[in-house]
This record gives sequence, structure tokens and C-alpha cells, in this order.
Amino acid sequence: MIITINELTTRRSVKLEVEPGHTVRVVVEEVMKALKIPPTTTYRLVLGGKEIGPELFDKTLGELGISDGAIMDLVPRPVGGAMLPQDKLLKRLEREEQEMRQQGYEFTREEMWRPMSFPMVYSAGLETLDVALRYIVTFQARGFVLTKKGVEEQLTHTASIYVLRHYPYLDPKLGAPMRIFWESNIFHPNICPGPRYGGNGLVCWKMIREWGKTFSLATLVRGLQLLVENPNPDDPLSKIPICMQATAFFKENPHLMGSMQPSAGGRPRVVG
Amino acid sequence: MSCGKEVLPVYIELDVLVNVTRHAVEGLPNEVIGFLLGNACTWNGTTYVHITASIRGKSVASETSVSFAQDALAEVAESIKRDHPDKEIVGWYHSHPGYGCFLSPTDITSHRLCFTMPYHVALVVDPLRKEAAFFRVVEGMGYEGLKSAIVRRRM
Repeated sequence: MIITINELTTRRSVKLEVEPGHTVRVVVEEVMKALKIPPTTTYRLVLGGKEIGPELFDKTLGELGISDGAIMDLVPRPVGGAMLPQDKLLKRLEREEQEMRQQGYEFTREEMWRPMSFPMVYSAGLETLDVALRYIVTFQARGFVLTKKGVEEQLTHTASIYVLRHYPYLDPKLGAPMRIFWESNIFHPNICPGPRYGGNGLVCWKMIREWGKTFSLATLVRGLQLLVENPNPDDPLSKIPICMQATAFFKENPHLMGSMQPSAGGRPRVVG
Repeated sequence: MSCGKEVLPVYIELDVLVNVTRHAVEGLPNEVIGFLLGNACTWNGTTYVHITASIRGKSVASETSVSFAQDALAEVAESIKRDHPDKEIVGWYHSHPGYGCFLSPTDITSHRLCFTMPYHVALVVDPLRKEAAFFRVVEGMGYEGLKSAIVRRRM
């Protein structure tokens, strides 16, 4: 039987001799070959107001009721997405680095531009994400560590901020445009110690789920300071034993939660 | 409007640009998407597109991505055949609310796969910054901005 397919971006049409047993996939492939369009699944076939997408490409023409003389349309399905070009992303990050310096945060930066695998907070397993840069930030906040002597105060903390390629936008699939992992030691219900202290550095933190594009690296670090000083024992990293131990500890010692330092970065602050 | 000898790559009718902009504003805070219809023409050996209509697509969108919803393309195909039988899809448009006009890597990939003719164009509008710009994808170089002119018909 003969079917006709019209491609709507160039108004070219292709007539094909087909069998009812041919799949949509081979038909579309032949049409694309004839029209010299690179083979992709970004096109849809349309027949009588119905769309045939890739989920139906393995069906046969017979199964879909396509018969002799059918005239179909081939329509592209473009997808728009927001992602800053590399130079604009770097420019934005330069401004944010300046802001971090002004607030007294110390950091190192490393350009990555490659996919990396990370453990996930809300499920087991790894996720692979396109990383643009990694910042290792050191800042002051009143926190605690667990040593052989017991629970001790710790004021200096280090964390890695992995800035993802879709920074500064929230992506519907990938979520917040950064991932944060603890590097230093800590005794905290929502933060796992860094790899050098026997943990995987996971940080369970509401702010990162509610990322808005007006946030910046500096607001992120300020948020981390607040998180260190204000543990949330009601939403702990429940699969990590040391975090559960910290949960019990802070429930028994609620007076140890809260800020002691009025100034950002833990430095003296001129107030008059 | 000046009528120099230079042939620009894009000519768009004023009411089309108005419709696209209005669509982008109505879609806020999300992105919107649609097709540009018209014809590819050649003058003095230069091919340009003359955009005479646009078609909105029912979309699935967030603040940072947009694509056509299920069966939206079926409606698009029907509407082209019914209302614009002599036109072709010469490009697409989508909005970048608040973050300016450029092609993201997703946009570039999409344009390359969906719009294979060198004259095919991408229009990006930012309804918040009140900007609009035409682009095309250049193999090996990412993309380039295109000069364009607005065509206003005398009634």
C-alpha cells in the first residue's frame, strides 16, 4: 500500500510503499533519510488529529489503523530550555564570588565542566549531573563534633558547593542548580561528616529544595551557617547513624541550638 | 523603515510579533512555545524568511523549560492545513521570562534537530525585559543573532 507523509517545516512530501506489518519507526526513519533530516525522535507523526509519538513507534501501521492512501504530517517537536551560555554563567559567578569575599567567606574554586556522580539525600543510589564549578568554602558557625572525649564545640566548617550547569535555574527534573557536600567533621542531625571523617557529606536542607534564582552563593553559605547553628532534629538524615545520634543529643540539649555569633563569618563587626 | 539594498535574513509582520509577545506575557511566569509560519524566499541569491503568521502550541512549561503538550502538534498540523495551506513552518519561538534572549544548549540541540534548513530561525522573547531576538544555529559555532526587520502593511 502507498502512504504519503508531509513534512511541515519544508513542505516536502514523501510517498512510501509500505506493508501493514512495518513499524512506525522504520517508516519515520525512511522518511527522514529521504528528506536528509538527521535521525532523531524529536518529530511526531500526525494522522487525523491524533499524534503518534515515540511511545508508539514500535507499533505497526496495521495496529494503528493506517491504511492505503493515508496522508500524514511529520511535525518537529522543539523543546525550549533555560541555561546560561558558559560565558554568562562565569560572569554571574564572578559577581557572586565578589559577594562572598565581601562577606568574609574563604573559598577555592575549580572549573569542572563534566558529569559527576553524587549520592542522593532522599533515595539510595547515585545521580549523575553536569557540574560547572566546584567551590570549597570555609566559614564560621557554632557547631559541634563528636570526639573520643565527647561532644565538643567546633567553629570552623568546610563544605563543597558543586555548581551545576543549569545554575542559577531550578530544573524540573534535576532540581536545584547545585549540590552541597560537607568536607569537615560535624555532629549534626541534618549533616553527615565529610569523607575524611568517615561520612559521605550529605546535607539535608530545605533551602536547597526551595532554590530561587535570586539566591546566590553567599546566601547559600549564610544558610549553611544558620543550618549548623539551628539543627532540625525533626527531619534528620535517618539512615546515617551519627546523624541519629546527633538527633538524640540535640533533643536532650535544646539549649545548644541557636546562634552565638551576631556577625556573618564570625568576625568582629563594627556597629557604631 | 529604511529600504537599503541589503537583504536581511528575517522579515516579520508586525501583528505576528505582537501575537508572539502577547502569548509570552499571558504565559508568565512560565515559558511559552509556538511555531512561526511563512515562506522562504530568495532575492539576489540570498535566502530570507518572511514570517506572516504564528501558531501557539498548548505546552507543558515551567519557569525554565517548555515543550508541546500531548496532541498539541496534531492541532498545529490541522491548523496549518486549514488556515495556512500555502505556508511552511519556518521556525519556532519561545520565551525566556526575565533572563534575556539567547539560545541555551537545550535550545541549540532542539533547533539543530528540528529545523534543518539554513534559513530556519528561532525567535526568543523576554516579556519581562521587553526584548526579542532572532537566532540560527551555526554548525561548530553555537548560534548567531540575525538582523531582522518588521514589516508593517499599509491598510
